[in-house]
Amino acid sequence: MRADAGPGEAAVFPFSAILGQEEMKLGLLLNAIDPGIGGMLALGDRGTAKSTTVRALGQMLRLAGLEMPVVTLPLGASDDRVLGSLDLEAALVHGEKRFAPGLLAEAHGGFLYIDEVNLLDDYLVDLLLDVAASGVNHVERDGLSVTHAAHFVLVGSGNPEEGELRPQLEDRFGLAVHVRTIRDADTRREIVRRRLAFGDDPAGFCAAWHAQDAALAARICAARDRLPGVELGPEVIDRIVSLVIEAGTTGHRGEIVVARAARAHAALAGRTSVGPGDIGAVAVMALRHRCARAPFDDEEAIAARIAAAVERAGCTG
Amino acid sequence: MTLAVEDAAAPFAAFLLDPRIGILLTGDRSQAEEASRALARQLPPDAVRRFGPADDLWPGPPDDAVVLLSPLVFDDPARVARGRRAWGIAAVAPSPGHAPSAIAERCALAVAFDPTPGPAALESPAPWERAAAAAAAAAARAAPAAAPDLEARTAVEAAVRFGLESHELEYRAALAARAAMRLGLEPMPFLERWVFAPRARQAPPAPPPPAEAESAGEDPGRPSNDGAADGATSVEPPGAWPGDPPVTAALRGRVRRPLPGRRGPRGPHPARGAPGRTFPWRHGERADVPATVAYALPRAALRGWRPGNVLRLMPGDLRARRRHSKTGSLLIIVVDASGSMAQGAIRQAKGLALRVLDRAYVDRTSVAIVAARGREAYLALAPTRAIARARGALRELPSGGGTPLASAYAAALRLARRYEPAAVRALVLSDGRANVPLTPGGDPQDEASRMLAVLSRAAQVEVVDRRALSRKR
Repeated sequence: MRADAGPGEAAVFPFSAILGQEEMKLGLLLNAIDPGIGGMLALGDRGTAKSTTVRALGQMLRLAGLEMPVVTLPLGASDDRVLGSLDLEAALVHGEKRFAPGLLAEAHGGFLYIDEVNLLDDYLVDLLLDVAASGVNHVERDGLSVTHAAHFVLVGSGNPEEGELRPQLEDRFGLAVHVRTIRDADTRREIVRRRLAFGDDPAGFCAAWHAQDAALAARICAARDRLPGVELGPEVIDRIVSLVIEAGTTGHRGEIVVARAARAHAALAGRTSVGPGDIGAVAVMALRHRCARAPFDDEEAIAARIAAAVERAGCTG
Repeated sequence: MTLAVEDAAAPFAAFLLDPRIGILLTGDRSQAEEASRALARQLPPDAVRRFGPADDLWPGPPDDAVVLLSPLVFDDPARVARGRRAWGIAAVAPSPGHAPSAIAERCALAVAFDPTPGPAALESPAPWERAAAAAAAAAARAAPAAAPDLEARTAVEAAVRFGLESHELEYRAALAARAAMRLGLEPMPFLERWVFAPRARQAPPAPPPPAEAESAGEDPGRPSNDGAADGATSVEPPGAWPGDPPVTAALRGRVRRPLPGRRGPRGPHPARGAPGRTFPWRHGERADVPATVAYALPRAALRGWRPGNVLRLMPGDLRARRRHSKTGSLLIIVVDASGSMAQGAIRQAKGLALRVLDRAYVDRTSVAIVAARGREAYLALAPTRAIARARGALRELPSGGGTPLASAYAAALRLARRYEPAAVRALVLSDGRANVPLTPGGDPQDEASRMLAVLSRAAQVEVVDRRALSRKR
């Protein structure tokens, strides 16, 4: 679903009006609550509201006064545009070597969204992941030497049929969700109906959903405030470790991401301590791209394996 | 004036009434392009933008424009991603299957032009002129009460019936249903005729479900010249332009075409890829503006320029930047050198591989060799462009032992995954008699055919067996 605005308008489809794709929405909300989760990768069928959902998120958060800009990185954007480059106007008019910030600076404090991340030039993806992990952008080019803070949540989406993402990159996104075309005809009809309504009267449609978006935004704000106080007891950490071992993931990033995501999940639910249910709710999206893959595994098989590991680790809540 | 559903002017009228519906003009290229130009003339001139392979990607056409999309952008993922954001799209393509799905599902209407020029081409007034009149008349009438439930129901029902479920296409089809009603047409027959039937022809009506087709895999002993083991069938769509590659029509009516993002050998590239060093601009290069200005400032100051004055660039100030694209194309040769291959067959396989290597040399393709012999396949040659080394490695390849085919395909898969599927060819020279399992206790044949199915999603696989080898010599 793409937000269609009429000529001259740039309305964004309301977040609450997006039907289905619950896993993707939850993953984004958790990242909004705790940007330290490390971003999200959304792979799956095209036309499943991936871009719309990310754009809608920024608008929704603004309703609660949370300024988390959502900056879209277009395919084919030059590295000058992404990293920042020499400010040509200042150079030509004033003779000053000044830095013109790029998309990374714009996304500071918010989300950097890459649609079709699997088609982006490899060197750019490497660079983005580096900056996202370190929170610092160094530019050494055109006679400039600039360092600026760039804390952002990297969100990538793509359709794996059109090009696979290198496995070593997948692991560096905090969460990974799998989006599918919805098969249920009633839901599909409702999706079309809402898009028609939005296309006919974007302002009216957004107004009708305003209250729901505002309520969700307020929940996110409250969860962000609650987050530092959410307790992660030693027995909960033990459970996380045993879950990660049961799931057979590679590397240690798994434990950290599960812990952070579970904490954000508890904060979102209004709790002050992490319970087994919080771990179970985030396990699949935190671990699916870190599981050792047998040669013939598909997405469903991996999700089922993690669900079984959740069961064994007693995290069903 | 009123139109009938069958009238060639009906889809044009619907598009002019609401360009968001999108239109694909297929079949005879000259007529399709003529129609595209004619539709553009009927829309307000400032609302229409052309978008072709040489147009600037950034910022590209405005989001509220109706974009006339050139088929030459279909191979460029960045331009497809940019073009699909348009408010309305009119695209020319040999068939709906030739357009990338991102574009095809945003162009609900599909009009095919018959390549044999008949009276229709000479019709006067032309269909689009009648369409413009009909659209204007419909727009002048009071808009009927919106019926989003009916529009949504019609679109989804038709999509399900044709097995063409796609949220995007259904939305555009619902807009088409609305436009049809404003033109006084029955929405369902209109959608069938102009949205779904032209696409459904691309795929068989009752395709096997993908899971079965995949697990069935391919018999590795059977010669095959296409790697379409993921259940896809290779279909030459009617009206393909000469020289076009055949389209892979996938299941459930979804015409799928992997975007060949990084196909072919690519060394330095003028505009894309990782930036490298800058160098003095030469005629024909693309100047790098920030590098040029950074370089020019101190030199201009030496020439007496002061800030606040216009900076005058001299030809010697201009800089260009070298860029590199990392991935080229890869040819993986899987050679079965096991004891089960007779001496003659191995010689033939090596001979064929050497001929393929000569071709790879011409194409500047990287080559890797996987040897299937013994208990586990091994990489006899890591990817390289040094074809001479490949020839040497191939000649010196020892033979004898078991046939670990699944292991060989797994090794090939590891290599193939570093590249775009369209950029990898895997040539399998084997008699297909796998006898060493990949996993303890596994069935060697079954594992080999399943692994081959996985490999054929990551590469274009060609399997050449012994019988085919004997025929070639």
